[in-house]
Amino acid sequence: MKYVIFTVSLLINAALVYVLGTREVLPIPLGEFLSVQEGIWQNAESADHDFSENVALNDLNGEVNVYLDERLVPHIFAEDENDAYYVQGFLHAKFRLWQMEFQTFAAAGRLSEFVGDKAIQFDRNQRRMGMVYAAENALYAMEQDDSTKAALDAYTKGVNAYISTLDKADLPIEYKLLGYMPEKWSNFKSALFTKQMTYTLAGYDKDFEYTHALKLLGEENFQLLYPEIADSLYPVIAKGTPYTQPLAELVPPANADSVYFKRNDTIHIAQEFKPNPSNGSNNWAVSGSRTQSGKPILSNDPHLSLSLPSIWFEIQLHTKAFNSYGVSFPGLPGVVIGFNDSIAFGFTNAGRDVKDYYEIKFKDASKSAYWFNGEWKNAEQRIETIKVKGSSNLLDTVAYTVFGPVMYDKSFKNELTAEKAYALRWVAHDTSNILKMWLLLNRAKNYDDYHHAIGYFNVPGQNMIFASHSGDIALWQQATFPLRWKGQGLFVMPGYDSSYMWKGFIPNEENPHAVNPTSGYVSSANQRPADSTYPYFIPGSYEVYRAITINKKLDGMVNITVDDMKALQNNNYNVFAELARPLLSKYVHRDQLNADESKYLQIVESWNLQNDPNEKGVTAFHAWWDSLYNNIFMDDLHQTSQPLVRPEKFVLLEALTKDSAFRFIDNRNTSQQEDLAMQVTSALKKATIKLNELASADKLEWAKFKNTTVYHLLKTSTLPFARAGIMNGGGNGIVNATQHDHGPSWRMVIEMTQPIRAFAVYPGGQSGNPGSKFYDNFIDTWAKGEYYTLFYMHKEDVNADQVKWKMSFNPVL
Amino acid sequence: MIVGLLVGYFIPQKRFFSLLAVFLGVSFFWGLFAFYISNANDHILASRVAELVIKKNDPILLVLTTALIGGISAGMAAFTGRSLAILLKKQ
Repeated sequence: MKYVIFTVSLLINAALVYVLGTREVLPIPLGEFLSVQEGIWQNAESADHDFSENVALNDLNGEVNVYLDERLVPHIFAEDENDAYYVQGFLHAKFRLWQMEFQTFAAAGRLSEFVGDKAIQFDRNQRRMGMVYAAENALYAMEQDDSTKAALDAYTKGVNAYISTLDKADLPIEYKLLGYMPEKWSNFKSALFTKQMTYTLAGYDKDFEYTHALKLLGEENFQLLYPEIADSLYPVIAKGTPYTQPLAELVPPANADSVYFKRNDTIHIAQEFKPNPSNGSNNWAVSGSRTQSGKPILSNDPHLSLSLPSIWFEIQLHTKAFNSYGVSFPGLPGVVIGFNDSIAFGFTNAGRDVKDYYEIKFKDASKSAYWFNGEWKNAEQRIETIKVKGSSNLLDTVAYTVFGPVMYDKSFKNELTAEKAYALRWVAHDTSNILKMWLLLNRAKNYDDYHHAIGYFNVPGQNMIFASHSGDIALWQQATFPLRWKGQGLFVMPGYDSSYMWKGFIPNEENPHAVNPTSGYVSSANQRPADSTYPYFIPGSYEVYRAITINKKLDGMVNITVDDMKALQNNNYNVFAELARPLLSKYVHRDQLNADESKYLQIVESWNLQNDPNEKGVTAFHAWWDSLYNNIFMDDLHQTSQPLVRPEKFVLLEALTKDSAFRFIDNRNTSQQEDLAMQVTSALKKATIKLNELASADKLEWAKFKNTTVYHLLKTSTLPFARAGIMNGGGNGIVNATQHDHGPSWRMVIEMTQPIRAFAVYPGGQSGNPGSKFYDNFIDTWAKGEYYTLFYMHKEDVNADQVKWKMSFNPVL
Repeated sequence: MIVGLLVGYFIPQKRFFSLLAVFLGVSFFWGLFAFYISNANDHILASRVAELVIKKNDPILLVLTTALIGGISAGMAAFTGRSLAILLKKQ
């Protein structure tokens, strides 16, 4: 009997270990996860946690003191700037380690290692795009330069010094959730991070979609749906700015008309992963001639996916060489957007196309040779090893050509015709040291320093804005942009010889720029940088409407104050609706509407054109316009199953404004000939169905519909770590560019007085620990459109009230 | 669990009481400790994790779950330890 009891109890024990200690039955090992000694309870940071401590670090050159303020912003005081980067690395790891690792694992196509086989396609996509290849080239360039190498070495040492202090109980909660341990950091990981940012901002492409569209529509209709320049464009650089003549006349190859512009064969590429086309930003700088203080004010709000932990980490670096404050990227040393005691700097995405695809013909299935310039050329074979959790390694061979990696071939993504494959030519693959720009900007004292610094930056293209205490303002659209003949790169190009390759690059000096313009301000909002008089072909993905609102507002402002600039960043005016609504009002058949439809018509017509949280008009207008858009375009675009890209927002509006008999209005699937009035009316009827559903779910008000949510990086797997239901306004094409999960990830307004007046906020918190009160404590302030006053510390401030904790870093003796 | 096993093995009493004593001791200790930590944290993390693990935004429920899991694991181990001791003793 006692044998039986013992055996049974042993089995029960074993079962408990199996269920509570492994991931075989439950998704998390609950025994470990909820253990008081090792589990999540160790991540539950006490509300009165004391962050003061003394830390001994190897190879630190001198003592470094870090003063933490009440928002947990570290103010690093070091004599030697490399010591500052060392401590920056330590602090980035202390507060955001998991995020740094997760982002660089994703960049390197290594998510399958801890997520399993559902990430394989993503990882293959990253490898085949050449992310690791690009990072290797970036690392090479960064390590060739003494100052950037020293900065990276110090930063890496700092991250690793922190990692070495961690035991199982201290691990961030996501490691416990997913069941893995942190790896050592390296300079290579910082290089990977730069390429991930590049992909986010300069990785969006439409080459395949445009190629499909051209085949479907023909040249004329293609131009109607995908025009190069919007009529209402308010370019970054003012219309009328004179441009120098281009270096040389750029002409397409002789066979372009038959082989490129009028392809007869088909391509079947469906790309699964793309960066968010809304990735962009606003910035503007007004000169002292227009401000109340007489000094310039610079404003910047970058628009990215809203996430917890935030992409940004606020920091100050005070060294003998410079004193900079702003936001940094966990993964890189330095301040990325911010200011020092003389200047301020910020960025918006240029949206320029720096990515093209070339059709490749392989000799055979081995992919070892491809046809180029009249002969079979050897391709470099790169074997990517993808480790998969719970499975064996996956090997993926990618051929590298003169253009770059052959991203798409028989083994990845599609059905091909014959032996065709597509190579990617992307500026991101070229060697350059973008980190050098930031190390120089952090210490820049004037316009010349800024201008010199930005020359090191090759990708992703940015509108780099500048203001100085001495009174200068400037904006340069800087990157290494390819020289293109008109039309080059819109579509997939033949890669059988060198004739379609880029002819070179636009010299930096000829990039669009403005320095102390007579208008008294510079600004950018991802719109096309220049009008049609700019002498180069500059395809890209451009926004139109935010720039209109910003420029109209700035044109009319005098005696500008910081509060005016904050108000502009939070402006909810819907200029697109202002332009589009009259069309809807004019053409709708009022006599054909039922009670509900009339009700929504009334809501739209009485709406004040503000995308404010409580407005039902926003939701109703967008439902109606989107229905109209679908009515007009979907029948035409759905004629093919090949992926296409939707025509831009401005296309339908401007086409209908010019021509109420726009040829696409008719629905080709019906025998009836629809006109604009019929389509507008039908759109309202369709929208009403949707709007009634929303109304019964109490989601008609804009903020409730939009349901702005800051997701944790693991998205829907960790919804309890997200912050949902943020009731603010804004939207796409609105200066306050807040959408469902995308928007101003940092808002900053800097007045270049002495002392500097700096205000900023981001929707997150300094700590990446969901168990800390500093995880998401800034979100409410951000949602209300409010700002924090930044504590720009100097040596005499060490005993100021704002200083709450002190960390002393000492060299090990 | 090791502690439970050893306590059960070395401390002579009826098997069932072994289980009960260790269960009560460990669950009480884990529960109290978890509650103390969570309280100092204003229950921020426990609320989030409770939502994640037991689908209810109830930090106290998470504390109780923790106590229960700790208690059952240790208690069962104690029972097994005692059973082993009893088995070996009567040889």
